[in-house]
Amino acid sequence: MTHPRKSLDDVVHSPVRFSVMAALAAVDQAGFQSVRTTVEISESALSKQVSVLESAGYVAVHKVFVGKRPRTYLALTQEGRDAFQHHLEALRAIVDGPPASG
Amino acid sequence: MDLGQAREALERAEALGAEMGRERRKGRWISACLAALGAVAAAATAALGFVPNGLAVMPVALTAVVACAMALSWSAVRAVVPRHYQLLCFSLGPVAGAACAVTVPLGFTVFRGEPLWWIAGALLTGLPFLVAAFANLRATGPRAAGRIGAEGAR
Repeated sequence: MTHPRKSLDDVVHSPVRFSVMAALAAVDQAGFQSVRTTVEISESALSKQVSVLESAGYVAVHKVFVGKRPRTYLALTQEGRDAFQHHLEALRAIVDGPPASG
Repeated sequence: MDLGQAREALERAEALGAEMGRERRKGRWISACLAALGAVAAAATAALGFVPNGLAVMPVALTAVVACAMALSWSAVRAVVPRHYQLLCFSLGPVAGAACAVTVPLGFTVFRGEPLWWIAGALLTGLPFLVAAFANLRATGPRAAGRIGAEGAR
């Protein structure tokens, strides 16, 4: 039997990326600043981690103009939602421990 | 990763979902707006059946459309958009429009002067907005945060 930790997603596993994905999993999309405030990190750190998530295809980034000001939105892609769900299941499996045999 | 770290990560995910929930609750007022739109849509449809000059309801219907467009524009740029909210909002127009497209032409041709048809049609036209208002209340309510752990990633 494979230990559930082997099912953990390396991209999601980083604490900051995990937090970003956890915040985005609760919504359709969120503004960059809202995510930054929720996760409590600097803009540059969030940008860096979002780039990694975007490269993995887990997060979609788009900009819209609200009046004359651009606003950046982040959203989990379906692939990102599936990966996060899979990661959560692996964490739950670790917490629950191996199923009792016999 | 050991058991303690896994438990801590799960708790963190739950807490972050709840934190986003606080942001989501700022959109509660839109439920009142959607419910009002439902009432206006129903009243406009009923007026077409009961008021001899159907054009009299056009300003009301136009106001509803403008208000709906404004609400949708706002929903597209709000800081935090709840799960499935955009899908719900963008399906409102076609669903309510379909109800209206069935009620009005059939009402004028087949069911002219039939109060039951127009009342049922009016309710059907207003219903999608009321459903959307209820769904938004649920998505932005204080208990929504508790559902995130179970539903959030889906």
